Amino acid sequence: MDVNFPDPTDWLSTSVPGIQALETALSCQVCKEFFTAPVATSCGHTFCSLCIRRCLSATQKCPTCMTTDDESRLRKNTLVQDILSSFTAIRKQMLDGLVIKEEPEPPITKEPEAEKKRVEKRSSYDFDEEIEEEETTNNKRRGKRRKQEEAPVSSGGSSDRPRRSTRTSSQRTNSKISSQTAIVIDDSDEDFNPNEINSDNEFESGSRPKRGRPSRVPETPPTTNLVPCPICGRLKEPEQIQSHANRCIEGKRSPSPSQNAANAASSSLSPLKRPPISFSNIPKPAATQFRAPYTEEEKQKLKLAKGNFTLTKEADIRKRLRENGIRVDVKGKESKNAIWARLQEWTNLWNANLDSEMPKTKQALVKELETSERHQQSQKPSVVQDKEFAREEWGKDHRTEYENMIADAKMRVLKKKNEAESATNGDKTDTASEPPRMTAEVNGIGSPEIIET
Amino acid sequence: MAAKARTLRRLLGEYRELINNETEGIYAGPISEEDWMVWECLIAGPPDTPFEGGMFSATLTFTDDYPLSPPTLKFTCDILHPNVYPDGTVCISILHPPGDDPNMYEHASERWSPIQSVEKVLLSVMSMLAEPNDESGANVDASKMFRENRERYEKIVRNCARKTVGL
Repeated sequence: MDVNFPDPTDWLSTSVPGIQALETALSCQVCKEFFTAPVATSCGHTFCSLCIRRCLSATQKCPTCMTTDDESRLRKNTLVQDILSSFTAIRKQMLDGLVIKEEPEPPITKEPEAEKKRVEKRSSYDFDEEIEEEETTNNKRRGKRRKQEEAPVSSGGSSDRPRRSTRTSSQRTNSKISSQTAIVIDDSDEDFNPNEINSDNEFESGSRPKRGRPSRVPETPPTTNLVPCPICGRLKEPEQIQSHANRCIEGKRSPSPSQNAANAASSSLSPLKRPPISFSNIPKPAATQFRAPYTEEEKQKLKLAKGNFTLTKEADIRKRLRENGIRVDVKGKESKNAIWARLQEWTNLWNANLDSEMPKTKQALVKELETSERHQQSQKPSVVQDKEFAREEWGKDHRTEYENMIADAKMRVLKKKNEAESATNGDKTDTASEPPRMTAEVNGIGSPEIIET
Repeated sequence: MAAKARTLRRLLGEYRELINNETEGIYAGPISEEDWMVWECLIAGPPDTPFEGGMFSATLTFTDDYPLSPPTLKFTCDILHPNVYPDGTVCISILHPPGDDPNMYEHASERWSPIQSVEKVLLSVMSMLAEPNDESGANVDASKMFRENRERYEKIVRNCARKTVGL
């Protein structure tokens, strides 16, 4: 499992914690991650294409407002996609920029190099303070944090706190300029903090946002702003990415001119599409796994309809699955429910893939479906929310199980009765003959007498 | 692993959010790193209620299709409450999927939806402690006591609260 994926709470330790709200707004409320191919429902709520399709398959209701909606009414939300692309592209930079100023200043007198660095940082201060003035809504929260800073570090709170506030660091800078002693204090401060992180936050340190923390977003490695090519995955300068992507695509298929632009712009996140990535193993998406984005005409043509469970014949379901190269057992081995569920999941995956800016190939999708099914099979099937759940068929299929269970329960009751009888015969205590409801009544609190003392 | 991976990612995200942005009176996290599907929670008794001062422990159990299906919440400490079954299972609308309404009185908007989260569930439970709904008694005896013999109910509850912090 990878803990290094972007999280809105990363911003809480920066000078602009309000960005948390912005990032939350750019996240799907179902998977709580950045949108992947955002689509809007007819009630105006935006979700990942795949997330909302799965939800609608389960309940046909918008998860936010519970109004009835249908998959066919979903519309692509390009604006959100664009905002998200630009946000994820600068996220790492912003995070670094906003946290970096918490670092105590290198003393100006030491080296000319340090002085140069300081000037750079000064400019970022000015910028931050401007923002801070505008940020009135979050003043309260930050005020609280500052208070915690002053308190001794006993709460095991944020490791970043002791050096967070903009104002304190600028004051520190000023005092440094005025006197040499302040530098000494700062140095010791610098030495002290890392130890604190190690001792106080052993369990938080893994997930805490830290300065220079590697991000899952592959297009923003810490030192440069290399962008992975959506086709071959090689890292390129942002300026070169478009021409590179063009060349990549031309090597494989001739695309429509608009696709390249879309490709280059949206090399941004698609969390569901990629395995979780730690910085150490930058993704190299197999060239065969992805294809160029679908055009609008292609989408219209390729879109799969959901269909209706009762109206669709079992043979048709099998045929449709087989046409797509999806594994179906020979007739009779799998129930209509099972293959219908498979077709629904396939439809969701397929339609969501059409919306994606970085669609996968059909083979990759089929493989994804199979792996998810293999996992599902090893788990108990969950039928709680299935609107198509066929009660009677289920009852018929599991009749023997139910009968066994009933017989089992009857046996147990009989056994208990017998035991109770033998117990009352043996000695005259009424513990065993006490009806089970009595114990339920006292609710595990212990007997009421004890409580009332 | 796809289905499980989805659930795990979501749970991991929620856990991070909970520890990075603490809500007062609510603590939750997986019991062990091995099994992310079972969490342990601590809910502080809301102030100005008989539950005040108590720290109520509970386990949250997630299904593999979380967040499509709601988790179940079960108190592991002694607790007397009209909306908590005698075995500790919490009966609250936010934990019921829409469409599954045995009593036909819950609004669809109050029910489980994938946009809910652990934090919201625990906050709802906290407000449930403060304001029991004695019309949908999960624990009939507690409901009856709550309605007819409030003093005794509060006394027992205060004892429970004290017991949770080892007094």
